[in-house]
Parts: sequence; C-alpha cells; structure tokens
Amino acid sequence: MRGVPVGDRPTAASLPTTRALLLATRRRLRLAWFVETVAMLAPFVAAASLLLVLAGRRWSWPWFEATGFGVLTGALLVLAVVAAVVPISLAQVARAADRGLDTHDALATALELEDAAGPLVLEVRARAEQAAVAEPSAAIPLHLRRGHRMGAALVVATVLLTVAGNPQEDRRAAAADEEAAVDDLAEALRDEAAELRDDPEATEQERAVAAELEQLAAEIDQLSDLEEAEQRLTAAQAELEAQQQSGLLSQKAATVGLERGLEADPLPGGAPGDGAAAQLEQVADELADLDEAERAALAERLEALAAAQAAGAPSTAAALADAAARLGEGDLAGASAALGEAASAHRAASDGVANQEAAAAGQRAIADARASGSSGEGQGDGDGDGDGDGDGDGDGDGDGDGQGEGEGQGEGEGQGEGEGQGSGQGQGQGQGSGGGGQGQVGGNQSTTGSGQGGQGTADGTGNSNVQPGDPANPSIWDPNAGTDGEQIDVDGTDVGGEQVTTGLGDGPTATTGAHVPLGDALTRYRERATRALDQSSIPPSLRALVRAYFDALAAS
Amino acid sequence: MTAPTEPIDPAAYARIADAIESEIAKVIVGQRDLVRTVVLCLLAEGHALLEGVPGLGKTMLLKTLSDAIDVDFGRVQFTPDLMPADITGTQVLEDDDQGRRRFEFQEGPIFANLVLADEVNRATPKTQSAMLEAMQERSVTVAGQTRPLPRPFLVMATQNPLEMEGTYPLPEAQLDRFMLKAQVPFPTADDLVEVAQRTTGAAGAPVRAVADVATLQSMIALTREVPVASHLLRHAVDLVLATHPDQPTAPDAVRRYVRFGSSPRGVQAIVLAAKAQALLEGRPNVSAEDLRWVATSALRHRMVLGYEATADGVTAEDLVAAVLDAVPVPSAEIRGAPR
Repeated sequence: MRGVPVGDRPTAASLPTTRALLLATRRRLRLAWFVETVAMLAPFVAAASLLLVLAGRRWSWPWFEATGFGVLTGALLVLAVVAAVVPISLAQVARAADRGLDTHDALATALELEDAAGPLVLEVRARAEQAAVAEPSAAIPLHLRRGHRMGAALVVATVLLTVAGNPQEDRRAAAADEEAAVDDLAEALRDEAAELRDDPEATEQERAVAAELEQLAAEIDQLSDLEEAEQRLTAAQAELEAQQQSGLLSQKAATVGLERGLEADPLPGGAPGDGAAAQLEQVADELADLDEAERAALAERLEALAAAQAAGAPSTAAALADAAARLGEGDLAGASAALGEAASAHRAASDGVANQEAAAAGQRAIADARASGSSGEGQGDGDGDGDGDGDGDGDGDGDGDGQGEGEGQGEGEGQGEGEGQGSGQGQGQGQGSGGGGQGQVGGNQSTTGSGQGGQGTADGTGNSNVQPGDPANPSIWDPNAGTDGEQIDVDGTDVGGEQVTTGLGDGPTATTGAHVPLGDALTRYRERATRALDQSSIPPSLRALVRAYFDALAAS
Repeated sequence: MTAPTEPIDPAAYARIADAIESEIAKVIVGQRDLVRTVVLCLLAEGHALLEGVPGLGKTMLLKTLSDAIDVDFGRVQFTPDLMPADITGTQVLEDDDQGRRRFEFQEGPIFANLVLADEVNRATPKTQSAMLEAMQERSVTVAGQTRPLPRPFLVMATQNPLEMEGTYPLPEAQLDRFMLKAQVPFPTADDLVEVAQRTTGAAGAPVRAVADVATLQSMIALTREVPVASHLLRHAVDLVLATHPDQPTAPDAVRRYVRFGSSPRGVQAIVLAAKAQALLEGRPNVSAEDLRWVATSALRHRMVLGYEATADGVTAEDLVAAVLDAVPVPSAEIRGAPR
C-alpha cells in the first residue's frame, strides 16, 4: 500500500477518474435496472401477450394480436422510460460499483470524503482513483436470467403463432367487409339524401324526407351488422311505402293536369301565374260579375274539369261538379262555396301528392342506396353462385296480370269560340310480369321467360277538329291515342327443356292512326317523362336536360 | 499516562501489525482468527475476552503477545479468594530513608499496559467489579485517590466454560466492557501435529518485541482516524438493531431465542475493530466486509439468550450468523446493482 505522509491535508477535493467512472456506471446501472426488471416482468408480460394472441385464434376480434404486441412493446417502452428517469444518486452508484469492482467501499468512502480532511483521506482518494480505471461493465455486470429466457421463449411463441396464420382471419375479413358494406350503405344513403335535398326542384316534403334519410344514414353508420342495417332500411322503406297510396299516378295526373290546364287556360279572372286553387277561389269571388254566357261557359268548363278530376281527385271533382251544377242552377252562393271547397280539396290533393312523391323519392333513394351497396358487395363477392337454385323450371308463366291502369284525362276547353274542343286521350299502361323463372335446362343453357304487356283503354270523348296539316293547330300522330287495346300473347322462349316459358300479356297491338293536338301530346309526354325522371337510374344532370327540353317545347 | 504519539503511516501500521502476528505465530499454531481478534483489540485499545476449554493456549497467546510488544505486562490469576486490592494495589506502611514510616501505594498488577486476567470468572463478583471498573474507567481509586492506569491499557481475560462449579459467571453488564470476545477453537489435526512438534522438540525461535509503547500508541491513534462511510456506519447499526428481538429487522431466530440484544457498545466495538481490521488488511477505509468480519466477536457476548436457546442448543454464534444473513451488505438498493 502506498503510504501518504500523515498530516498531509488535501488542498483540493477532486476525484476526476472516480467521478467519470461513476457517471458512466450510472448509465450502466440504468441499463442493469432495465435488464433486471425485464427479467422479472418478461414472463408475465410475454405470457399476457401470448394469451392475447391465442385468444385471437379463438375469437375473431381483430385487435387481439395488436393488443398483444402493444402490451409487449408498451411494457418495454414504459420500462425504458422509467429506467431513463429513475433517480440514482452518485452515492448509490458508488456503492454499486464498490460491490461490482470489489473495492471494499473505497469509491463510496472517497466520494463521501471528497471535501473532507484527515490523515487517511488522501489515501482513500488515491485508492479510489486507482480503482476507478475500471470499466463500467466490470462494475455493473449484466446477467442473462431465467426470466429473460422464459420471456424470450414466450415472445418467440407469440411471434410464431402470429406469423403462422390465424383461422379467424376469414371471419375478420368478413366482418371488415360487412362493416365496410354498412359504411358504403350509409354513405350511399347519405349521397342519395343529399341529392334529393339539393335537387333545385325538390319540394319541401322531399327535403324533409332527405333529412330523415340523412338521420337514418347516421344511425346506420353506427352499426356494424349489415343485416341489422338492411333491416333498418327495410323498415324505413316500409314506412315510406305506407305513406303512399295506390292511385298516386292518377292523383298526380289529376292535380298536375288541373294546374297545367288552368295555367294554359285560366278561369275567368285568373291569371296564368296563379295556381289552380287560387283561380278557383278567385272565380268563386267573382261569380257575380260574370254574365250568363260566361257563367254557362264556366259551368261547362267546371264540368269538364270535374270529369278530368274524377279518377284522381274525386273530392275535387265532386266539388267542381257541384259548383258547375249550382252555377247552372243560378245558385251563385252555392257555386262560390263549392268552388271554395274545390280549391281546398285541390290543395289537399296536391299536398297529398307531394307527400307521397316525397315518400316515393325517399323509397327510391333507399332502394338506390341498397342497390349501390349491394353492387359494391357483389364486386367483393366475386363470381357468386352461378348455378342458381336449380329448380327454376323456366316456366315464365307470363300471364300478364294486366295491371293495366287506365288513365283518362279528358279536357274540354272552351276557347270562347263557342266551339267545343275536346281531346280524347286514352292511356293504357299495363304491365304483366311473367315470373322471371330462371333455371338451368340442359346444361348451361338458361332461359328466361317473361311476358310483358299492357292493356290500355282510352275512352276519350269529344270531337277533335284537329286535322293533320293545319298550321294553326299543329297536330301529331299519336299511336296510342284513341285505340282499343287488344289481347296479346307474348311467347316465352322455348329452349328445348321440359318447361316452356310462355308470356302472356295484354297490350295495344293495333292502333288507329289518330292525330291529336300537339299541346296535348306534349303534356302527356311531358307527364311520362316526368315520371320517368323519377327513376334513379337517370342521372340528375340528364333529368334537368329532359325538363329543359320539354320546357323549351312548351314555350315554343 | 498518555504519551504524545508520533504519527505513523498506514503502511507501517500494517507492517508492524503483521510482524506482531508473525511473532505470535512462532508460538501459537494456527488460530489465525483468534490471533487477529486479539490483535484487533490491541490496536483498538479494547479489552478482549477469550473463552475456551483448558489447554488450548489462551494464556500462552496472551503471554506471547506481551512478548511481541515491549510493554508492561501484568498477570492476575483469578481465584475465589482473590481480593480487589490484589488487583488494584494497596497502601502499605513503609520506612523511608529518614526512618519515618508512612503509607505508600503499592500498585497492583493492573498497573500495566497489558494485563492478563486468567480465568476471570473464578473471582468473586466483588473482585470482578474492581477489575471491570478499572477496565472501564482506565483508572483506579484507592484510599480516596484516583490513579490513572498506563496507556495503552488492555485487559486480556480468559475464562473456562467448563468447571462452572465454584465460578462466578460475569454478568452481562460486565461482559459488555469487553470489546471482543473470542472463542478458542480446538486445533485442527494438522495444527496439533505442529503443536506436538514444537512443544516436544528443541526450543523454537524466541519471540522478539516488534513494537514498543510509543508505536502502539501511534497505531491506536491511527486506528481511530480510519474513515467510515455513513452507509457503513448505518450498516453497523443495522447489525446491532437486528440482535434485538423487538426490532422489525430481527430475524426469526433472534425473535425466538434472544431476550435482550446488544447494547450501543456493540456498535462502537464493531466500528472500532473494523477500523483496525481495515488497516491490517492494508486499506485506509472501512468496508462492509470488515464490519461483518468483526460482528461475531463484537456481538456474541452482548446478546442475552433465553432458555429456549439453551434448550435447542442454539449458540450466540448461530444467532449472529442469522443476523448477518438477515442484514445484507449495503448496496445501491437498485434493481440490477451488484450485491
């Protein structure tokens, strides 16, 4: 042992080598703390991670594996952070280094005596400085513990199980697809609702329905079960369907026809810009101002209007007929009251039609959204089941149930010429659906039998003095006008199988060439086009184009 | 009398202490821990109690120690009829040169630097008390006059655990005055062969004195200068506290077999002896190993054992070992740190 003269007092407290070693050893000690803590916790954390991964092979919740690895990495991160910040004093480091280097507490004693004086202090410092040339790794050795080995084995097992593939993946994919389908459905419904809401010609009722659809889309967005979403949509569709009546088309034809008829030929005192109800109320107030001839003409006009409203708006028709009758009887007050009732009835009918149309629009929007969602799903499903149910016998028994709906719209107008002008207009619309049987016959052959036909019967009344080629009253040949429909049979396709597909339908197979006024034809075609526009398959931009086309024709 | 001491450096300290041990080894075969314990008491100026059956060389050890250091040596053979004055000294009537008669104090054997109290448990309690009072006070009061004992002053006592009849076991309070208590073990076979060779042949090399009083004083002074880190002092305290059955750190064996734990003198003994041990090992500072090495000698006679210990054959050494197991070496108290 190197001797130090007793009484030689230190002049400066300095342990540069010792302090450098202790600072490095402190970092090493943090690492040792981390390693030892990992050894202690690794089996438990890794076991928990492994259990989560195993649970992921038993149940289809998609976050098992991620949670397992999250637990693992999270625990390591937390331990690393704690190791980095755990308070470790130099005195503790010195004690640890003394144990590790077997320096018999020289470092800790020297550190404590750094500023002290005494006969042996310099000896202690010198001894500490000599010992401090060691490496921190020698002071704090790291050991591989059993916990490390167990944890590593469990982690390896966890990784292998994860890499090995999981039988739950198919279920998870299906669940993800289902969730995506629900999202698509909600998104499609939201788009349809937005389209309905943003349509410049949308009615107030349609906007209200659009808002309900958006609410429904938000509710569906919260779902993850496609079946439940479909049920919600089905329920909504049913609810909207319940708001519609079977005679919507005739009701609409009646109310719109009245509006347009009075728009084209206003009642006395009315203006083209006024609505039908307003004109009725207006004329009701001004009955006293009319002379006999005007009242007679008005009565005749009201009778014609009543006849036109009979099918679609019976209340309006009854009120108009009552007004015509009372007017004919000279009961001006009664006629006025009846006209008022007619106006009210017309408003109610118009509102009813608007509500039903809004409901129909909403229903269509839901149907379109479902179609959009299902098409997306179909793309995901791939080739599907091509063989069908197999029992489709191709029996397209299209007997054409003759859902013919005759719409007669007769309009008699007095043009002040004392000349009756009537246009007989028959519109036959029939649709027979001959069971779209589809089956495999003789291998890959498939046949579809369908019958579609219609029966239209128009009972147009009135004399048409419109002749072809009259430049003052342009006319157009209408193949459907004034014809009697005939029974038709539409054969299905026989594909050589045992079953024969036969479609039967009723439809106009012969027409008498009838020239009708161009204005009437335009009105009718416009009506049809308007109905056609309600189909969602027509893009909104084209709807506007079609409307603009007919507007231009009407203006010309 | 305390003479001014000349400073001594640790290297010389270790060298001289090693020479003392070597000189003793000329006579005493083996028994290295026993010799070390006695030397520690010498360098820490603490009293030692050696316990062992007759014939193991207790007296020979202390006699050899007195030969190895050039100090005044006194020996007292304790017997039941030994009176306190036989130890401390007494006033005797003497004639001076002028023929006048007067009382002169005649110092007893305790007035020596190194006193061998052989079979101390054979004296009566009264005599034991006189001896032990002198050990504690390092002074003697006779006829109203207090007389300091020479420094260094060390009492090396022996006692025989056998032949208890007619003996007066030292009470706990008096045992506490001894810094260390050493058990003299029976020699190993090899040591016995060596003993036989040495004692039955020609006389061996004589023991020579390698230190005088001044040197011994310097060494004792340096022993007290050895620094002890605070966590090591705390460790010594923890060891002592663990001997108390009512302390939470006490091991189960202590709770079961110990009635009273060590007194605070136990801490002092541990620290002081550990300082000497550190210097003897060539280190300028105390280490935990030093503290634990001396703990058995410092604590074994300071614990009062219950009858359960006697019934179960549990010794004080067993209990100190349990304490050492229960109180680990002070470390960084950080997971991953070496222990």
